[in-house]
Amino acid sequence: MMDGSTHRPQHPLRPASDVMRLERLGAMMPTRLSFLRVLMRTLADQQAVVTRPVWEMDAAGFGHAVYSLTLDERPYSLVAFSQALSDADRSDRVIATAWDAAFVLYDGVPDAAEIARLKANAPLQEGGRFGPRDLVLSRANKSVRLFAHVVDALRAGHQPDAETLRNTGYLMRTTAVYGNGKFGLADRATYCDRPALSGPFMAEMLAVWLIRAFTLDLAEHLGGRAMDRDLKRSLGVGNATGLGMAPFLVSHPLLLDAWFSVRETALARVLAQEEISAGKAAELVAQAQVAAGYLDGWNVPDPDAAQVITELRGEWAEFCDGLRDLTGHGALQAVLDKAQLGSIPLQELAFSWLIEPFGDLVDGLAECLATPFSPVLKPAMSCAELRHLVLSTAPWVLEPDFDSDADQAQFWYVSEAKLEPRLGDRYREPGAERETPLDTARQAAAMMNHLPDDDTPLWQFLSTHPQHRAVAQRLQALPSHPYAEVQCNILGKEAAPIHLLRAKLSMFGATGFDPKSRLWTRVTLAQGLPLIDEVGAEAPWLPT
Amino acid sequence: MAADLGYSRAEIYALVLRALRGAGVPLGWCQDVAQALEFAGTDDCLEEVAAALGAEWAVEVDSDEIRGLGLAPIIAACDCVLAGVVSPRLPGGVSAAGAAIVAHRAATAGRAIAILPEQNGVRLQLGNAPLPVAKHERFQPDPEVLETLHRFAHLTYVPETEESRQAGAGAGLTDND
Repeated sequence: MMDGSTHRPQHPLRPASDVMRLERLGAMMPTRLSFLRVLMRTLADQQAVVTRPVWEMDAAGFGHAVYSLTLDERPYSLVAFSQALSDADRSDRVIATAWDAAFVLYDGVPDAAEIARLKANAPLQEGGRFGPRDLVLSRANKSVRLFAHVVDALRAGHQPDAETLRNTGYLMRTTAVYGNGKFGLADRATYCDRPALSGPFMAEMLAVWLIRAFTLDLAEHLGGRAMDRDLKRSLGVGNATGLGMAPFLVSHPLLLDAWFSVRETALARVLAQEEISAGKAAELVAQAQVAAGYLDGWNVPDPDAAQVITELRGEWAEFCDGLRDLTGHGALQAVLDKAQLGSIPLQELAFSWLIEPFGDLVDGLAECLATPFSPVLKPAMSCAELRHLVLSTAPWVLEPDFDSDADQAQFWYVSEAKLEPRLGDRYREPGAERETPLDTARQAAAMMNHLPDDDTPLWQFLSTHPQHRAVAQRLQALPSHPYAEVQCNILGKEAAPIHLLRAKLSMFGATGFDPKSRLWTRVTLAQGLPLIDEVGAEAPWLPT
Repeated sequence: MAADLGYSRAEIYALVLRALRGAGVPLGWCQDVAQALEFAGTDDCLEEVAAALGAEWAVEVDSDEIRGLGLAPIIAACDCVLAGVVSPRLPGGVSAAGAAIVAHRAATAGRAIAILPEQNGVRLQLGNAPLPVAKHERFQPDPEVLETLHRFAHLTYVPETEESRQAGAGAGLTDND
């Protein structure tokens, strides 16, 4: 069923009770099913050609540019605006009001009037208004030191230092990439039937990949000469991601299920091969070296995160040393079993590595990453049936003690000042009475306290207990959508939002996770991917 | 500029969901109403939803008759008819928002629901008509309606404190790497 065409043999899927643990989500790595990789394959399939019809940039690098390409026989354009920004105004926070650059992915090729409209609105970001032809809105700030290093080097007539480029990984970092109707942008429903943009976040990923091209062009414009191609490819687009991304995973349960069903089905298909060819085995060995190279270059200042990476580096080296005949019967299951004896980060790296060489088996699954659906109430179900369903599919919701301070220590809310999601301490900060209802476990526990163990139809129960309606219908989805819930009480004192960010960013294809606290992280997008004039070239699993 | 470009369905969905939450409507009902807007013609539903904010929402089931306040009775009546046991009767008519709710529930359940007029009311009944299709037209809400929705949505926001500004959010305050 999963890729809508061919039934393929597969192992049983791993249980959601293991897959959807918060600690495992917090160790995820990008895969060939990550959205940026899917986009690269789409661009290659469609032989996309990117042009730059407009480059109106002054000597200081301020002005605007347009990049265009055609997908599904429709033109799209990234419109980029660059402006002066003082160091004091350069902030990664959503509370910032000005940025080095602003971008709109536009449905078509904008004429002068449309560019003028976007110029008046895009630099304002949340303060602007956008229309049905504006697909994605974004902004970015320069990585000041690296940008200066590159421009200075080029002006001096030589290439920037490869190691310096690798240490930062990007010339600019985005601090928001908005889509799906925000601030008047086009609704996803208006373009999700176009094959190239039908996958989740495809428009956003396309914008990011084009933004990367703009950052490289801007540096070359200011430097007065071209960078070496391999150096340019080593740079991506940075991204600073805070709490805003986390609630999405809770508020889109069926989409979450689609993403993880696809990942798990991919692994199950790979493991179903009783034997693999010598060529595939060699590819696995080569990809293991790619991962080792990536780990070597992954250095972060946070001591806890650095420790995890250091340990993973050692574990991965040992794991790779132990790789023997991968063409033997059941060899892939054996190496996965071996990985299971290691840390969760090792297990997740092994997961991504195992599916990397098998695009022929798994790439078609990308068609199943999107879903337009939300949970639907089954009103005829009896209350006793729902009780049984919760106990059998979601026992984790009953594990916390919601009478204890620790199990509801945190509350999610939206700040009045900037309308951004935040996390508060329930017992020290005001506002818990206005918390955002992301508390699936607590809602479920409350419902179970009221739900009779009898044949009362659910619709009758909900007519007098409407406060349980939302959680009842989302839990009813679990038998057919087992990966729909992050199996964690996110109100708990120990629940770290950074794990949710890692999960979603890994689905995007982000690399170089550089957590700055338990609330936000920096990552790099599109690093190592083909440049805009290299569509069709191999897109690596991980940048090295 | 805003009036020319209109409002996306996604931002109206988010605003209505938040406004209903701000008005104290239980989350499940908020979701039903906000999702139903995908099936609403244009802006008449918004006016009706805005008018229902701040009022009581309740359901009373009496045999096959479902009464109550706000948009809750039409939601409960949809539950009832989709449960497949009773064709519920609702006193009065079905408003534009009510019709959108019925259309949304029918489309998502994959079962057509007919709204049959009766004396002093309507009856919901499962039918065989083609399922309703979501609409894509953008909203052009009346400024007063928009103001009402924002006012109730505002009740879900938490005023900022210095501590929350420094510690509760994401990235650092300045960044010049």
